[in-house]
This record gives sequence, C-alpha cells and structure tokens, in this order.
Amino acid sequence: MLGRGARFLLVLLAAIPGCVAGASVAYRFVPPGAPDASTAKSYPPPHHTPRFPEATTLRFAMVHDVIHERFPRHGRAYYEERNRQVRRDLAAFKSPNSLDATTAAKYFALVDDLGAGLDYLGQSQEAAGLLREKLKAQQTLGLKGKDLYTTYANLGTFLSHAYSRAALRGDHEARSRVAEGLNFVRDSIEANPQAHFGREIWQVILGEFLDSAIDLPNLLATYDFVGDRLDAPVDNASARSYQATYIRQQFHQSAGWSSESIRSQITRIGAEAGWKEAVKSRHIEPVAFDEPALGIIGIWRLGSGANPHFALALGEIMLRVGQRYIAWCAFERAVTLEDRFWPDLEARQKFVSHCRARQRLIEEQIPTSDRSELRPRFQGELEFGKDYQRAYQEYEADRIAAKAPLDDPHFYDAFHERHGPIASPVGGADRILVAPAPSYSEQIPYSGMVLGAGVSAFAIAWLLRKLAQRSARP
Amino acid sequence: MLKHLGLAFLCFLCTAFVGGTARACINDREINNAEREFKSSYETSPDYDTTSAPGSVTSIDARVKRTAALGLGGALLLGAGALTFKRL
Repeated sequence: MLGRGARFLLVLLAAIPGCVAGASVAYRFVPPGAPDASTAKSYPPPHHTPRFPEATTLRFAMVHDVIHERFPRHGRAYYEERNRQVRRDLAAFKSPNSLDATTAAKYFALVDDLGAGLDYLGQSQEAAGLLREKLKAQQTLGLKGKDLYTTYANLGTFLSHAYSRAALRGDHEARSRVAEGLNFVRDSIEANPQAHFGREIWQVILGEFLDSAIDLPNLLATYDFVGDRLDAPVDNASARSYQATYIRQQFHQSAGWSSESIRSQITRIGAEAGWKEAVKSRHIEPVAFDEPALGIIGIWRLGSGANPHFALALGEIMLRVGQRYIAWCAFERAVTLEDRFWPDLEARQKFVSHCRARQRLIEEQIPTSDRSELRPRFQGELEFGKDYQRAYQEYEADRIAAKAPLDDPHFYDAFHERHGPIASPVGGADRILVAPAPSYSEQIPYSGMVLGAGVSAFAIAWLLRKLAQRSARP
Repeated sequence: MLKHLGLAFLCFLCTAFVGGTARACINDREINNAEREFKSSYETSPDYDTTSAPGSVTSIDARVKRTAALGLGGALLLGAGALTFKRL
C-alpha cells in the first residue's frame, strides 16, 4: 500500500499532463487577455499627410462618392450664360497688345473662362484659337514658367478635343494638332507639378498606357493604367493602407517624423512586375496609393467625368488597401462603362470578366448577409448621385432664367438648403485604432492550466484513495 | 514624324475611347473654388468610439470563464490534497 507521501508525489506528477492539456483547451475556448480598449487611441493614417503643404489629402469617402457620382456638376445653361458674360467683359478690353501687368491677369483669366465654356459646349476649335492668342500675348509680356500653366493645360486639352475626330479619319494635320496638345499638357506639368491633385500627371500616364496598348493590346488584360496587374491574385484579406511599422511608431509616439517619413508608410501600388518593360511610361515605380487615387478623383470630378479605366484602377487600388466594399462598387461601375473601355469587343469582354472575377473574390470574403445587399445598394447610391446632379443643373437653369447673377455668392443657397450636403461623411476607414498588445504573461492561459491540473490531480487522488482503501480492508 | 503620329494616335485614343472627352486639364474661374469646396466637404473627422472597436475589448464573458476556471481548478487541487492527506 502506498503511503501518503508516495500518493502526494503521484498526484503532483499527474497534475503536469493535466496542466498541459488544460493550456491547450484554454487557447481554444478561453481566450487570453485581449488589448484593453481603455488604452486604445485613434490615429490618422499616413495618407492624411499631404505631399505638399496645403495639398488635398485623400479620404476613402471621396473614392466612394466619385464612383457613385455624388458631387455637383454644372450644366449647359451655366456655361452658356457664363460665356455670354465673359464675352461682355472681354469686350471692355481694347486689345491684348495694350495689356499691362495690372490688367493682364484679369484679361487672361477671362480668356481661360471663355475657353473652358466653349470647350464644354463642343466649340473646342474656337477655344483652342483663343488660348493660342493668349499664349502669344503672355509670351510678348515676357511671362514664363508657372504663369503659363493654365494656358498650357487648357490649350493642350482644347487641341485634343478639337482635332481628335479628324485625326481618326486620318487627317495628318489633325494628328499633328493632337500631338501638339499632348506636348502642351506635358509643359503644364513642368510649369506646375503640384497643381490640382496631380491630375495632369495621371492623364499623361493614361495616355502613355493607351499608346503602348495600341501595339500590345494584351496589356489591357494585364494591367490597369497605373500598373496594377490584373492577372495576379491579390491578398486583400491582409491588405491595409499603411505599413505595420507606422502602427508601432504611432503607438510608441515617436516624435519628429517628417512628412516624407510618414508618407513612406503609405501602401504603395502600381508599376507591378513587368510594367516597366511592357509600357513606355514616366510612371516606373510603385507609388503611394493616394497619388493616383487623388489624380483620378480630380479628373473625374473636375474634368472629364466617369471613365472605365479610372473605375478599374480605383477598384484595383482599393482592393490592395483593404477597402473591399469600395473596390466592389468600383468594379461594378467599371462594368457599367464597359462600352468606352476599348473598341475591340473581345477586349471589352475580358474587361467585364475581370471585374466580375474581382467582385466574386470580394464576395467570398465578406459576411453572407452583406452579399445580397451589394448591388441594390450600389444602384441606389448611383441613382441618388445622378438625381442630385440633374437637380443641380435644373436649379441652375431656373435661376439663370430668373436673371440671378452667376457670381452671386448665395446663388446655390436655396439648393443646398433643400438638398443638403451630397458628400458622404468620412468614416472609420480613415482612422487607425491602436491598443497595446497583451504582455507575454497576460497571454499565458493560467486559468486553463490550473483547471487542467486540478482535474487530473483530483482524479488521480480519488483513484489512489480508492485503491488505498481497498488495500486497507481486511 | 513617327513620334508625332504615335503621340497623335494616343491622344486620339485618350479622347475618343476614354470617356469621350478629356477635360482633365481645364482651368477656369471655378477650379480653385471647386477644389476648396471639395476639400472642405471631407474635413470632418470620423466619430470613432474606441470602446466599441472590434477586437479591442476584453469581453466580460472571457473574464468570467477565466475566473471560473481558476476557481474550479483551485478547488479541485485543494480537493486532491484533501483526498491525499485525509485518513483512510
């Protein structure tokens, strides 16, 4: 018969495997200490740091809104009235040759307005002619560099608009004019590289991509115009808009980070494998995702409007930074614009197939209950945005018909009072919540170990006692 | 010559197939105001409730489970000791 000492030793030994088993079970059913919410802090993501002082920084709500047309757009009536007023104001100037430094700025601004208005109304040749005269007058006055930025940008765009149709028919002169236009746009970038979200840069990059696609149409099925590969899988389950090191630095409050250092933590996209060799482009390295995103938003909202290449790029970018719902909507919007993707039907079909495949990838990763809501929600939002734009343009036309002055600062007050803001609120995607991870000791499942040890120790102690009692009976 | 033709063709593609018109680079009286309004539309900070952030709260349920496991395990160990040292 075992003595108490021996039984105690056996009970202790039995507790060890019980402890190990308890720890294993505890990890499964009783989680170790989680981060403490009371110590969590909220930080802005690195893409909230501007590239240049005062530059606009990206919010994911901007991407959402541009996809769904949730922004105001002037209508025809606005530009017709503005052109009428600008012509009247220009007539007050005797001649471009009589301009001096004080009158020149005003005159040149009016020419830009008239040019833009004419272009919007489809009179791009006349607009281009105006801007050529403006350029001559500016050069006569000795203006250079940034002073010529708007002239270069506007003239380049108007030339493209004016002569593209004739270029299609093979008109050599028209082709030269269109080429000249692109060179003016490049001059505008040189004159003012920080202008307007970098719109011009990304417009040129789009042009370079399409130029390469003429010789290599397969590029259209391989890349979007910023160089994201369409044929490679994307690990969007772990995708984020920032690097992990940014979190550690923010939480430990490393002071003294420069804007460049912070922006180096932004997730980079584009110019993926093979891009540099395949596409003749100035864009040869991955860039912070917010740069092409802002460029696209700028062009879409303030320029040419919806575009399938832009929608596709926004979808691929958002996928790579973990914004799956926005990405899904971007792909959906891209499909609605497929007729403008490329003249070749097969290329358009591949484009649609790719967008649908990306959407299926996203749907597999979101809650089942959300999947059936995606399309109705997208359609509702897009309709909402388009209704807003229609109402905005109708309001303008009515106000103009009622002789309301365009430069009245309260021109749109009644409209905004009736309709409210169209911009979506900035959401949680634009904040990073950081809490300290549990310490090592907090992660050890003591409770499970004690329970496991207790169960096996008690069981063995009970068994040994029973055996000892049986042995002790006469 | 070829370079001009190439550039012309790409510009044609830019305009004819890409959104029809490319008013990306137009600057007029509206542009600065439009950009300011655009920027100001998104300047509000998100309301972020740190106590409801996913994965950041130690659930009461988990704390109860851990306490119960510790208590039961401790009781069983004491019981084992009692069974071992109690007279037969």
